[in-house]
Amino acid sequence: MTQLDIIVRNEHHRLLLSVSGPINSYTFTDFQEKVYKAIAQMDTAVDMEHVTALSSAGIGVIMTAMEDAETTGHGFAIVNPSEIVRLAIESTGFGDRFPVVKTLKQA
Amino acid sequence: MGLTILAFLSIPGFAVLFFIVLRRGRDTPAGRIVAAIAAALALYSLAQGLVFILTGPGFRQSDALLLERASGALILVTHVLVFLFALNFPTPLPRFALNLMLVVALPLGLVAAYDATFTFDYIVSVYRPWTTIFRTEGRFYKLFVFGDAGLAALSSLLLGIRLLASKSRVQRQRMAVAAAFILIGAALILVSTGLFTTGQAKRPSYVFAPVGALFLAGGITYAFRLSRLFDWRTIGRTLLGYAALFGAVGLPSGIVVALLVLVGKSTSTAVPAIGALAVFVGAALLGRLFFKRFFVRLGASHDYREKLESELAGVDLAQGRDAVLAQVYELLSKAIGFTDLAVLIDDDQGYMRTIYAPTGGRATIERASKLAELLEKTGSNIILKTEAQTDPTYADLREPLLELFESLKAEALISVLEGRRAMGLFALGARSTGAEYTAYDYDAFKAIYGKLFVIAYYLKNIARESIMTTVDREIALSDQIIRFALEKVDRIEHAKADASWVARSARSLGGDFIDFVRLSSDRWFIVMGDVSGKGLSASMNMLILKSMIRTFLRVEKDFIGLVSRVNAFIKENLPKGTFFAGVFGYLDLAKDAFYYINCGVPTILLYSPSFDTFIEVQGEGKILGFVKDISPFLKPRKLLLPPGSALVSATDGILDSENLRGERFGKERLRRSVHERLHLSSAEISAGAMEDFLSFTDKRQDDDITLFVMKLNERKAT
Repeated sequence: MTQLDIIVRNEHHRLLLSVSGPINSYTFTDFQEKVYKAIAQMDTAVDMEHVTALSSAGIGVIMTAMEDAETTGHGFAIVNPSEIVRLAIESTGFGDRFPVVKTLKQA
Repeated sequence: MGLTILAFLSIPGFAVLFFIVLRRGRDTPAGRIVAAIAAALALYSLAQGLVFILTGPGFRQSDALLLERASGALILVTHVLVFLFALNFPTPLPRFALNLMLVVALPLGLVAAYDATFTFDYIVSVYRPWTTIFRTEGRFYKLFVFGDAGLAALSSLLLGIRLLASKSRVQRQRMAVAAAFILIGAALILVSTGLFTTGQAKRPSYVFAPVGALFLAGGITYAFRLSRLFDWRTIGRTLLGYAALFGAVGLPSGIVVALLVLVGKSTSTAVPAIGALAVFVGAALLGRLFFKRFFVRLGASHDYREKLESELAGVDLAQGRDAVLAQVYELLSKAIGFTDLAVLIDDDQGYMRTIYAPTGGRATIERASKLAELLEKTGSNIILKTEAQTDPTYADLREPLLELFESLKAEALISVLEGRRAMGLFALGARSTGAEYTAYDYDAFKAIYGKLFVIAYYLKNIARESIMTTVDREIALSDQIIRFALEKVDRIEHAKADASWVARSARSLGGDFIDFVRLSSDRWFIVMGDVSGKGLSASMNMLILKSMIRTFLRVEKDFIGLVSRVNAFIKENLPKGTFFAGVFGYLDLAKDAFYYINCGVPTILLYSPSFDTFIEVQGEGKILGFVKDISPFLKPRKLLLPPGSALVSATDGILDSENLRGERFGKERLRRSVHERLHLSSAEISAGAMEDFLSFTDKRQDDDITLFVMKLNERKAT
C-alpha cells in the first residue's frame, strides 16, 4: 500500500483519526495537516493500527501534536499503534513519553 | 572578634568592584574615580578591622590610634572622591567648572586628611577594655564627620541637578541611582562610626561601617555600569506580586499559626509545632500556585516575548525572501511597537549591506572595519542605544556606533553571528510611544536571537533572488543546499583509515547529513544523522544545524556539553516537532579509538577481524529536540578500532525501506552487503551497498539515506 488514507470521525466530543498506509516523505503532509487541525479543535485520538511506515517526518508531526495538545489543553493519544509505528516511536529513545494506548476507551 | 570579621570580609568585595570597574572603565575619569573609591574603602575596612586587633592586649595602642585616625582620613578621602565622581559622572563637567571645583576640593581634602591622621583634632585616643572600642574624640571631630556628610549631600545634590538638566532617560536613571546610593551608603557609614556622639564615646555599631562602605562602593559601581533602563513594569509587578502573596497567603498563615500557639497554651505544645509545620507546607504550596497564576495574569497584557518567539518560529521560509522579510517586519513591529526596521546581511564581498529598510534607514558596514569587529565581539550580540551612549565598553567607538544607530534609525542592534563572524544585523527602531528599550526588551531580544539567526542564515545563504525566480524553486534550492553541505567537510584522510559515505535524499529534498571536522592531524569530529521533516524545511534545518554544530564545537570542549547545546538549539530554535536522530563522535586515530554518543542513530556496526563478524555497538540512544535538557540521558562510549576492523553506520532510511513485498532492507542485509565487499575500498563498499539497497527496493526511495563506512587499514610490517 503506497497511499495514505485518513478518516476523521467525531466520536463523543473527540476527533478520531483512523490512519492507514505509510507515513513517509510523500504522504506525511496530509497526516500533518489533519492532525494539526484536529488538535487545535478538540481532544484527538489517532488510530495507527494500520500504519505501514512511519518516517522521521511522521514522528515530528506526533511530537508537535503532543506540544500543541499541552498548549491548547486538549487531549492527544495514539491508539493501538502497529508494530512499525511502535518501533519508530521506541527508536526515539523516549517511547515511554508518547501517549500510546491500546484501545480507544483508554484514550 | 565577633562582627569585626565583617570588616575583613568586605575587603574581597571591594577588590572585586575595583577590578570590575578597571576592566571596563579605566579609560574614563568617572571609572578611575570609582576604582579609587573602592581602593580607599578597602583600605578603610582593613584599618577598621586592624584597630580592633591592635587595641587588644600585647599591641601598641599608638598603632591602633594611628590606624583609627587613618581610617577617618580614608573616609574623608572617599567623600572627596565621591564629590569628584559627581563632577565627572556620567560625563565630566566643562573644564573650567571642573578646575574650579578641584582647586577647592583637593587641597581641602588633603589638608583635612593630614590633620585627621597626624594631629589630635580628629581622635585623641582609642582603647578597648573588653569587646567594645572606646575613643576620645578631638576638638574638630564633629567638623570632620559633618564635613563627610556635607560632601556626600553635596555630591547627591550635584547629581540631582545634573539629572534634571539631562535629556537622556538612561543617564537620568544612572545619576538617580548613584545619588541614592551615595546618600544611603554615606549615612550608614557616618551613623555607625558615631555621627551623633561627642567626647569619649563607645562605638557600638562601628562594625557595620564597612558594610555601609561596601554598599556605597557597590552602588556607585552599579550606577557606573548601568546602561539599560529599568523595567519598572516588571519591578512593580514583582513587588505587587510579593505584596499580594503576603496578603493572600503569608498573613492568613501567620494568623493561623498565632491561633495555634494560643490553643497550644491550653492543650499541648505539639499542637502549634505540628500545626505550624502543616501550615508552612500548605502555605508554601498555595503560595507557589498563587504566585504563578497571579503573575501570568499580571503579565498577560504586556509581555510579548513568548508570543513573538513562537510567531517567529512559525515564519514560513519557503514563501520567498521578500515575503519572509515583510512577515518578520510585521511580527517585530507589532510585538515591540516600532516603525523602523533595517536588516543588513553579509554579502560575502567584504560588506554588510542593507537588504531591507521599509522606512529608509540604511547603512553599509565594511567587514574589515573596527565597527564590524565590535559587533562581532559584543558578548550578547545585542546593543541598545542606551548602552552605546553610556557603556565604557564602547568608549573607543562610541561616535561611529552612534552614527550607525542614527543612519539605521535604530534604538537596538541585534548582531547575528555565524561562528565568530557577523552574518547579519537587525536594527530595531524607536518605539512609537517614545518609550526606550528596557531590560525586559533586552531579555526578549536574547530570547528571539535564535529565531533571528535562522532567518539571517536563510537570507544570507539561501534566499538568493536568482534562485528564487526559478520555476522549480524548492528542488533547485534543496539540491544547492545538499551539495553545499556535502562539499564543506574535512574529509578523513589518514594513513590508518579509509573512510567514505553515501548520502541520497528522497525527492531531491532531505534532512540527512554527515559532517567531518578535522581537529588535528589524527583527530576528527564526526556527526551523522537525520533532521526530521522533508523538503525545503528539512534541508534548511539540516544546514542550520550543521552550521550551529560547527559553531558550538569552537566554544564547547565538553562532549556532553556540546551535544546538550545542540539539543537545546533544536528544541528552542527550530520549528516544533524538529528532531535529530544521529550520532556524534570523536575519532582519534592516534589512539585507534572512536568516542561517540548515540542520539538515535539506528545502527553502528563494528567489524571485528578476529571473529570475522559484525558487532552492533550503537547501544541505546535518545533523539535530540524532544526534551529541554538531554544531558542526563547522554552516554558517551568508547570503541577501540584495531587494524583490519571496519565501522559502519546508517540512518533509518536504509534500514526501514521496504521492497514491493513489504520486506524491510534491515540490518542483516546491510551487514551482508558490506561484509561481501570488505576487501574493497570504503568508497567501493558504500557504493556497492547502495546498489544492493536500490536493487532491493527496485530503485524506489521513500526516505533520505546516509551510509558511512570506515576501514582501519592493516599495519604494514616494518
